[in-house]
Amino acid sequence: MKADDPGGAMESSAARLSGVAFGALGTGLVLAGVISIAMGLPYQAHNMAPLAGPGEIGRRLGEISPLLAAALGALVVAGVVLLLGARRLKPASAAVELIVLGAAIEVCVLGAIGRIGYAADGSVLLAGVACLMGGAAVVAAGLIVALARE
Amino acid sequence: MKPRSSDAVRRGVGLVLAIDALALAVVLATAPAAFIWLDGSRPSPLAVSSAGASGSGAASPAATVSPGVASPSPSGAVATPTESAPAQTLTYGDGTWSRIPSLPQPLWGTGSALLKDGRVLVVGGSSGPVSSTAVATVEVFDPQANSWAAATPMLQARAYPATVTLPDGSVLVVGGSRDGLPLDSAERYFPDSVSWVSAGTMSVPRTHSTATVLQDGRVLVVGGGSDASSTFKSTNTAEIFDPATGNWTPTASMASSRALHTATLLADGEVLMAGGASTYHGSKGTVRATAEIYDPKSASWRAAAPLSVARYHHTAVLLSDGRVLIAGGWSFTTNTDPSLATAEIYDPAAGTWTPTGSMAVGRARARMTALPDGRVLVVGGVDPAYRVMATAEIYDPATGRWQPTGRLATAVMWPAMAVLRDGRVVVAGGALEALAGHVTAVCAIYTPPAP
Repeated sequence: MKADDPGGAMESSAARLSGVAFGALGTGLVLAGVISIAMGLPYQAHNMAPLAGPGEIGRRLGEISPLLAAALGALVVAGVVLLLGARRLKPASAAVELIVLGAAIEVCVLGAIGRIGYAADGSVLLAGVACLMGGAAVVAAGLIVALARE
Repeated sequence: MKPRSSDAVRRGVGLVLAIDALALAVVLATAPAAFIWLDGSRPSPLAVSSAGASGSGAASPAATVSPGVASPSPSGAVATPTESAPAQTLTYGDGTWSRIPSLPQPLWGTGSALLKDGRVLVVGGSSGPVSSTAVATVEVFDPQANSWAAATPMLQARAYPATVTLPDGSVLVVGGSRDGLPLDSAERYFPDSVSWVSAGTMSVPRTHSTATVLQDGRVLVVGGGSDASSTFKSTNTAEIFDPATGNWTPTASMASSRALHTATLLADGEVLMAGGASTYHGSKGTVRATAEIYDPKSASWRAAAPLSVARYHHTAVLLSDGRVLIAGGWSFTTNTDPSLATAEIYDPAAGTWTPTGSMAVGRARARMTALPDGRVLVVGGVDPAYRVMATAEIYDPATGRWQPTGRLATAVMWPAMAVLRDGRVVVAGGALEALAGHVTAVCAIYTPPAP
């Protein structure tokens, strides 16, 4: 984009704004899903008991590491989104980061889906679905930000 | 460069908005896509089945009992399934787990017994990690109606009781605990009148004890945690309940105190006690490898050959050939050692223990029962990493091997379990984690694979 191209700037701003919105949506969904599963509220995962407290994170690290990684990925996405919204990050760089983070979140959630895919009563666990949606939203954020021409 | 026109700007922003809408649609579509994928990729195909069945064989009294476990009916007549409420069926290779209606409330540490009419009685239990949340509720599962119905509550709320079906069809519920205190009371359920009657009090309070119906119809109650303090010190005492008189009579004591042991009625009428712990509070307990045999004729105990390893929280069943299979458990009370996957068989004729095939994974606080065809089903329990499992395994005494036989919809520890007349197995409730902080009400029926 050239500096004297106000139309392009507007498109870029719109793309940034959209990317930020999708990134925030993805972060929220992933974090909400992970917290729900970790606390067993409102439904318990069929093969992952809720954490009794923070002290259990270390003891059950092997079991919860995929979810932990997804949550950490979501937090990094939140950071990227903040920097993008504050124009401290180039859209091209942010786009790559968001796409990679979104894909990583999806891989982590899918890796744990055998434990968290279903609720204790056998129905599909909404929190697991929310995590998958969150990862998709982050990838979408990356693709949209890639449209920003700066 | 000439600035773009306002039309071009509108088109550009419109393009971004269109892409936004498309991306939003894709993200939103992830939810139904995930639903469809997860629903279709359960570990088994989903189907609607008729889960009810009517049995024709006569129920027999429970003879081999760990706390809360109903023993199987040996009458293996397979009944014709009848129409009933549809249930989800989960098939994982061999063996089928079918969802049935859940208990009215989450419970674990319940007692269960097969009634003479083929229904399953589930009594007491706890909705939380400790017996302060013990309940007096009684639920009856009717396999034909595929439904649970509430029955008259017990006289006393209790968790971890020992429960047996007596020859007259009544059910004796013994001991257990409430508010952390072992109970000395016993009560008796009469299905015909749907009523509970006090069955007196034992000489000492007992929780995690065993109750075994002897061949003459009397009930031998042995060991259990008897200390009212928080140490859960176990007792070596034993006493006998006579259903004809309703009286308790002390009998000879074991050489060792034990709780969370197993008791198995042998074919010759003697009773084998195996394993157990002196106390099971933290690291203060000693887990026994010893075994003792009670002879009802002489009312005396004698030492049996010891187990290969100390075990408590293990499971035991009488095999159809008269031998006794013992599997799993823990060897220490420290709550840090891994659960045992090993199993061993006691041969009463030779008086020896012989190792047999190990389970695929260590299991403590699992439920195990003999199927009418002679095989043995073990369900759930705590794995070596202190996670509660949803998996089940089936043991074939002919081969001495365990095979995975699917998994329940939820992980369970100490659910209620009972073998129906048609050979299927009801599993009800259970704890979702080793500390029982979360408990489930989910129930399932297992249909064994063809031998």
